[in-house]
Amino acid sequence: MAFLEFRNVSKVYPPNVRALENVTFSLEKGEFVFVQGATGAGKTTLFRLITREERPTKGEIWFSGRRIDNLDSQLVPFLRQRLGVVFQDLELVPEWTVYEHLVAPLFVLGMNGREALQAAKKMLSLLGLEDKSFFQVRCLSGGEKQKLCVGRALIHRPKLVLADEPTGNLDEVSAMEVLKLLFEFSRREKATVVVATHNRALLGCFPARVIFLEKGRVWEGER
Amino acid sequence: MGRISRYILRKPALFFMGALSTFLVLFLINTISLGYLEFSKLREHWRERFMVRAFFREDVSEETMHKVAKEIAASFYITQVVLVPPEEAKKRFLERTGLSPESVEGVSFPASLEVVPKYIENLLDIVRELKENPSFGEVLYGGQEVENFLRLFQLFVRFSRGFFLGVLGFGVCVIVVITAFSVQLRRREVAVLSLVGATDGFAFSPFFLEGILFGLCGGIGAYLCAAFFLFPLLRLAEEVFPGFFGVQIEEHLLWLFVLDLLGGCGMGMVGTLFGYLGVRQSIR
Repeated sequence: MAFLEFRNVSKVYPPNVRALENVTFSLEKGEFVFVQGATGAGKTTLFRLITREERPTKGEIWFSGRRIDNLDSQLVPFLRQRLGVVFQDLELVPEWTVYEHLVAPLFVLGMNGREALQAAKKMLSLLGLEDKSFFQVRCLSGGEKQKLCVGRALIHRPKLVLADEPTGNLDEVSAMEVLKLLFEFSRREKATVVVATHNRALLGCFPARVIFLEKGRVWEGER
Repeated sequence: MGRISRYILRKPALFFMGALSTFLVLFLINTISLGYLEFSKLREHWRERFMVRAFFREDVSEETMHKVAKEIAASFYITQVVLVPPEEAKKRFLERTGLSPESVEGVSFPASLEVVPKYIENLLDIVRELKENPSFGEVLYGGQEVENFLRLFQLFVRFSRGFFLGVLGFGVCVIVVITAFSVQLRRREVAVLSLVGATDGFAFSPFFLEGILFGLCGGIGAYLCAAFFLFPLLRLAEEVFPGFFGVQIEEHLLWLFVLDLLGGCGMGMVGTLFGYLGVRQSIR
């Protein structure tokens, strides 16, 4: 069985907005995948179905051998603990410090303070934010916030990382740095990394499988 | 504790508001509780002065008298029933008046029942019941002025209960709204924690502990205020009106402390719970 699998998944938002239509694809462990589509193609909905922020109208979603579209709501936190997500709207708390954001997923997993601090230091150095660890998020630039969001998604070494437009707020150099970080993470941790982007120019930069999304339908290509 | 202290330090005004509202409500409750204790003493004081005396009819047998006395004593609203037989009534009369037994020869002294109500405000109901009882010929209790006084007293008791419940309800509402509001202001933090996989217990625990903490602060504040302000005030009143304020404050210190702590914690917890449930429903 595939690591992540969509089987004829459709999602219709009320009153009758078809975000996804009969989407079927599967991903294996360790894959690095781009999901490319224009704004409004359904990329964010695709991710929200995996994180169970939304439920599909039709179809099945399987993750690591378990059906998750009908998962009991009490088990959703445990599903999310196994994912690393870079949200399109970042989902940061302005009053929290950089350090607090990074350790949040670790504390949720029950890691103690000392271990969490070590992991956070390591991640801060990877992100180039060592000198900002105790800055509140409101004091960071857009790019730094984006990097922080990536760091928070990777720090607990999840086996599935979903990055929704992770380069949206970044200049070209920083965008490449972030994508390199995600790519290296995928290789090092044998983790499946799915990067949603509207930017076709990025597709050629990394050896990756590409899933195209257009008006809620998917088809595939390989680079 | 690190998470809670960070939460508090980040928005100290919310913590202060919660503690202050708990303190004010508990201080009001303490004042009313002490007022109630004084009021109970007053009731006891008056109760003994408003005894009902019901005279048995001449044709009632002694056996029936005992039976009736037993039935009346079983009532919840009556604290004491004393059957006064004719000989005892005559003896009392002679003692009180200083007359010789010969001077009252031929005068009948009917047996009577001395009834002491548990609560002074029930006196009129007890009188009504006794009057309806065919065993009694006459029921004495004080007359029209006492009736008017008791009506006023009943009104006061009802008003006091309503006032106390109103204060309690309003206070709890204020605390719940303030704490719920403080949790609502941190909606984003709960949402972010939820998105990174926090369980409800993990996300809610700092709010819950914060609720307990400000409840404790408010409760301790209210207790200290009672100990250093209300109690000295009562003692002063006792000195000015000796015999009137009969509450032994030392006897009530412990339960008041427990009431303040539990009340404060309880209100804090209920408030944060409501706030969290509100937030929980609105996040993904």
